[in-house]
Amino acid sequence: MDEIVNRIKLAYRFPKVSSQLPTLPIGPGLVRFGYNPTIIEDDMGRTLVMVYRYHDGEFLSSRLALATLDRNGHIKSNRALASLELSMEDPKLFWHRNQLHLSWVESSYPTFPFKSVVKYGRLADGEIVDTILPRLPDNDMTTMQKNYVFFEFAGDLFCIYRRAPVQRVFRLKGEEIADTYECPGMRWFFGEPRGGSPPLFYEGKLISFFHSSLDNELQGPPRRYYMGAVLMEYEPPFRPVDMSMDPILFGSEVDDVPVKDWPLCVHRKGQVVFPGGAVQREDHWLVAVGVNDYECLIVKVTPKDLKL
Amino acid sequence: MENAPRPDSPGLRLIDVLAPTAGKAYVQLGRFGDIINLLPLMWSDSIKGVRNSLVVASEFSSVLDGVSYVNPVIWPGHYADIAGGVQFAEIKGLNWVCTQVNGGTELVKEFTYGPAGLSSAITTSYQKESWRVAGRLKEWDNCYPLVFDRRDKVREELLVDQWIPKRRTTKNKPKVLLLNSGGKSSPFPQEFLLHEIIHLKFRRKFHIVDLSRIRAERIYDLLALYERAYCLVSTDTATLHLARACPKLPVFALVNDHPLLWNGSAWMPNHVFYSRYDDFADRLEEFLGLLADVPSHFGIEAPAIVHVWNDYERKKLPRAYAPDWIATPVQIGACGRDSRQNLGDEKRHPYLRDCLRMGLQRARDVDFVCLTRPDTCFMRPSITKELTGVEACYAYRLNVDKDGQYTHMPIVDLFCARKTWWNKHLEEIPDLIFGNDYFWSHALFGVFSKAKAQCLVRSVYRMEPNEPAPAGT
Repeated sequence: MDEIVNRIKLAYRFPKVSSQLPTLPIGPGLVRFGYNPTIIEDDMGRTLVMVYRYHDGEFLSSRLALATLDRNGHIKSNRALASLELSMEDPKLFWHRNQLHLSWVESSYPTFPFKSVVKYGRLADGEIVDTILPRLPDNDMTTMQKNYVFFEFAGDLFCIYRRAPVQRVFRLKGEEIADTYECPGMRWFFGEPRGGSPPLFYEGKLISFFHSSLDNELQGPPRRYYMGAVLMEYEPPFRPVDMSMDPILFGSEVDDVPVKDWPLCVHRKGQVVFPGGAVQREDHWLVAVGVNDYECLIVKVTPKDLKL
Repeated sequence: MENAPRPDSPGLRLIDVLAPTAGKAYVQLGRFGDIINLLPLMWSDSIKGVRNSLVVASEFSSVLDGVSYVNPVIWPGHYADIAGGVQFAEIKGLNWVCTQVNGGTELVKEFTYGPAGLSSAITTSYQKESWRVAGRLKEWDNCYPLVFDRRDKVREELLVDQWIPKRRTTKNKPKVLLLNSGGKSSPFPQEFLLHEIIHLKFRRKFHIVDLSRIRAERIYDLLALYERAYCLVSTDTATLHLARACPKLPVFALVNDHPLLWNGSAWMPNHVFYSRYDDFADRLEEFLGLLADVPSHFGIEAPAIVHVWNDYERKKLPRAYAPDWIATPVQIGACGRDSRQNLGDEKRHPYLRDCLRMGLQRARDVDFVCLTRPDTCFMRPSITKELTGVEACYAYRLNVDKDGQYTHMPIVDLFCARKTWWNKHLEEIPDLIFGNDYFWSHALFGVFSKAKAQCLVRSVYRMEPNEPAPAGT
């Protein structure tokens, strides 16, 4: 095992994500190997609500769990959300009409061919109610649909359907598309920007954290994920106006889980960083990121870290 | 060239008065070039107050008239008689070290390698081998100067008057090209071709001085011509070794490669063109192009950036990127070993550390040495400021596709650090091939990363990627 650890230390290109930026000390209390979290503030900012993805035992399909954390990131409660037969993945929390909502990916995984849709619903008393399957292009279980980002603007519900090369945003009314907004997306050197966190207000604009990936690694798994931030205009079509020059976070071969425990987790995948939600604090943002498909982190991002 | 015999009385020297510590007696009987190769070591000792002796054959002893910092011990026999030379040193009661690697194999084994506890050659050039058996190989990269401190100005003036025409105005003064296409121990196979082509192509541009026609009283009298010359073209002979005394003279070095690369002289920082004999025909066009417009980096203020790349495949013009950059393409054969010779590869590639050390030899302490691939392009002119703004940095490659779109590649294509930084970390760098692969880059990244070097963003790109396909795609 020592030999493996030493080899990995020699080979990794970026330090573990938790070393790249300061993190909130979440501590124990989440389901073991839970990942891809989303967060949002509740209770006048006194509570952080987190939803994340986890695997029940050896099941390859995943479920969602709901946790509440205090302002400093310590876990106050944790429970499973009602699960479906299908795999529930990559949740994103957002407010709409003063009510907490959640979107997620519902996937046929691990049944081949993999197909998925994106749904959203209201969170009430720790349960998902009023589930909606929005009628967005191809969101009908015939293809793999994911990485939609829902957010509220001026009382309406919007969905970032795609960020690049053309940014496509829909205004929704229930499950129907009310308006479509298209504008040129921003080109990033680290792959196509996708998904990420619902936008937050920042200096007269909207800010959103996203992920991207490139399949060009020369050793080990070919794919590496990156996290950046994009600034968008504060009105439809939410035209992107600025973007991180360089990734804010790099997916890493290593993480906080000891190497000896890696074999315990069948779904671990290296070099992944996957933002799912963000909240604004006085001089920084807290961004919930999934790491290597088996770890939840909340990282502190300052304006300087945005690398705009 | 012919040289008069050495006068019997060398006269009193300042260094004798200062009574320095007696050093070793190095047995290097000849020839001129091999003796000259040792003089920088003797000089470096002398400034530390150690005065060495050199046992030389009388045929080549005249070269020592030009230096005050060596005790000449003249062996009256033939320079190849190493046993005789060593016996002579023993009779004189000298603490001898034989550095002579030219001569009979058995003699070299017995008197050179044996006493040094060595069995065979392992360096990349016979010159370095002499330093190794002297126990001084680590000092090679220090680039000690070749100093002739007892030159004869009268003889030199006569030589200059004879060989360099006087002009009334400096405007019409022709540039002097020194040429030596001959050589005894390592004759150049295309001597006639070289001689003719230079005269045919450059007789109007340069005043060509054929060194093989000069009868100088002392070989170092030629330095007067070197100091007035625009450049030197020399085969692998003493005139090439002598150029070390003029570090600002651009040198076109044609170097022996038979039977091994080891048998050729080592690259020196003032070599702007370096070709092995066997490669010369293929590189003739490049040679003539450079001769028509000699690159010179002398006079650049420090800190400069010494830009090193593998030029074995001649993908890039050997020109500096910016005025304060010193282009240091590692030309084919410039390293005394390559992947073909050492590993039997079809293609020739140099070794990373060899190339790096060449850059370090050319750099001053405050200069930066920047290592890139041959086809690495820079994103912006301000790169100079960025590279010299930190002690050490590296930059990932951006690939540019046909549509002009950039994509990050997980390959570091630029490593830049101050010379002192490189020297500190040189031993950590594995002895890898410096080819178009990514292994050397990944290893070097490890060293830079460990030392917390800065990562420069969006600094370098490459137009046409020809890397092996990424694993798994």
